[in-house]
Amino acid sequence: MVLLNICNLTKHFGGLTAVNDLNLKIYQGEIVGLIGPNGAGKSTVLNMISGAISVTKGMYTFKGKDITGLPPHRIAKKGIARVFQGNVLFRNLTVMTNVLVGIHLRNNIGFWGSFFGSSYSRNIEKIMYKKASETLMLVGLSDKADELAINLSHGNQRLLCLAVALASDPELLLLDEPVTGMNAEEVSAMVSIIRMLTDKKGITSIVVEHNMRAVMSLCDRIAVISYGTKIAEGSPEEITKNPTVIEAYLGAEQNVT
Amino acid sequence: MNRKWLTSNVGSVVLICVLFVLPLLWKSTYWIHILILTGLNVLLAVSLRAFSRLGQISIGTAGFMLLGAYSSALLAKYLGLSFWITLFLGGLLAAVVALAAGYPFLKAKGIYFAILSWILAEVCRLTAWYWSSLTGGSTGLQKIPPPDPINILGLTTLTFNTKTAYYYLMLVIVIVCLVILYRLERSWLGLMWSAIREADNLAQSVGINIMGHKMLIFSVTAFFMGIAGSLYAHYMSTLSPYGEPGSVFSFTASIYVLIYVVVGGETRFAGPIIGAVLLTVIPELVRTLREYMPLIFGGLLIIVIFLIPDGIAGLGALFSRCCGKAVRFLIRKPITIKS
Repeated sequence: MVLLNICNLTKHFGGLTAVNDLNLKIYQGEIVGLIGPNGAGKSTVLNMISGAISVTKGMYTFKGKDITGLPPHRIAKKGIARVFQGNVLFRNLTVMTNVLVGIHLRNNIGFWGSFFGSSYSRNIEKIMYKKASETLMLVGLSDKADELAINLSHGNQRLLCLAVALASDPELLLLDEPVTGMNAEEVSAMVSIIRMLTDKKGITSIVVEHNMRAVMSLCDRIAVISYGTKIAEGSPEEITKNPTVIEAYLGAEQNVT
Repeated sequence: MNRKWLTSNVGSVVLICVLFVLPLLWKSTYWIHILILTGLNVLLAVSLRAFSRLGQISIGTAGFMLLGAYSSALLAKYLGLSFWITLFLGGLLAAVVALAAGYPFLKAKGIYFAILSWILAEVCRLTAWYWSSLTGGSTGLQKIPPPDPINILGLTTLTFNTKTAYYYLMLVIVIVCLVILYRLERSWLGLMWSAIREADNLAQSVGINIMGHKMLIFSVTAFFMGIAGSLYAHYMSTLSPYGEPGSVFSFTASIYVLIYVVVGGETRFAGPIIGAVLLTVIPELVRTLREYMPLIFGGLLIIVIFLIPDGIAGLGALFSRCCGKAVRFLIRKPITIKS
């Protein structure tokens, strides 16, 4: 089943074409890598899908429904969550509270109940706490629940970013450089968590990443973008052997004689 | 609730009791007058702090206060509506204006929003100044009726023509408003607001409608500022839209409210209350320095920002931390060097 269908997606920034006529189908339950040299337009694609920036041309559908141009919070409600590049977190809130903010989306607690502190709303709060601790357990941050997000190490902050995104119970995860700046151990931990999410919970992921080893071991399918245009698509093995991709990354061989 | 609630809020309960008994013990009309103005400043400062929890600074406080004051006064004076209705309508008008202005203005952030909010306040003030057929212009609006007496179950009639009676009226309304603002902050909405302050892009991506929340809190706090203005109008019974420092609807007045919040401490709910009380009462004790007040307030602001960023309300925590350090220093184990 096609979960996300991107058709002719184009983005101009003034005279610069950041993304040019991109076509991509994401199927349910797969992990798709989106790679390319710096400035290729990978993050722009994620920004457009999550609604953070407007689309110049083209459209994308999620579960068959056109969601092009919806504001970010509406897209989040449809079931698309996002992990930002860099550690974008609620820095001065505790780890637990960070996840609770994410969790509120699927649990409507109701304004008046919360305002007067009714027993019904307190019950929902308890359920939310339980869900939040489960999410923290999933990424392995249970023991840090009461620490401020700002005090976590980089690797743990990255995991918390993932936990906040997971808290909103998404069907599609957009991961913008999930393993950047991590050591090999943390990378493999992160990769196994993302794998586990797909295998156990059926969460589909789009991964933008520069760490090729992580991308190759994680992704079922890879799309390569260069200068806003898709130049190749296929399994990791196909991509590593594709001459166009090698050219985009390393440059073409030239005869200098 | 009940007992547990009472023990955890013993401080507030005692404070409220003291405030209710105060005019019985201290029969100075002058100080009752100051206390009424202090109460209004507390309401303004707490409202402003609630808004600034979003990470935005507003210096348009005086504008919303003016909207509440003038609309409530005009409705009571010319249409003869009861104070109890105009109080609410005054707040409502401020809230509606905030909602309408909020949509374009709240797209700006930081200092740019602050400038826009200031312009909004000045527009309100100059409207009151130049629309003299309605508001009396620079000569001011006089003879605003005091609140109507209320009849409690036919037993007694409460009138509000003395300062002490008005003090009680102000006290009850301000406490109700503060409780509402406190509960708002403690509800899920409060959590959403701090999330927006911390990282608005992440808040959006987990499904928080940040524009909606910003407009909501802007208009809710404007509502309470309008209430404060309405209370002021019916208390003073005259209003004038002067812009000089010292006038209630001037730019300086908005800045003062911001100073109450910062000096008192923005991180705690008690902060703006402490700030407003101290900075309204202390200038009255040293009236001879009145013309230097902007200078003194400015200096105080700089000192607080540099030395105690958490404000006066944060002093307790700071103090205990320092004491803890001192104690640890005193009882530390002497360093022994093994030979």
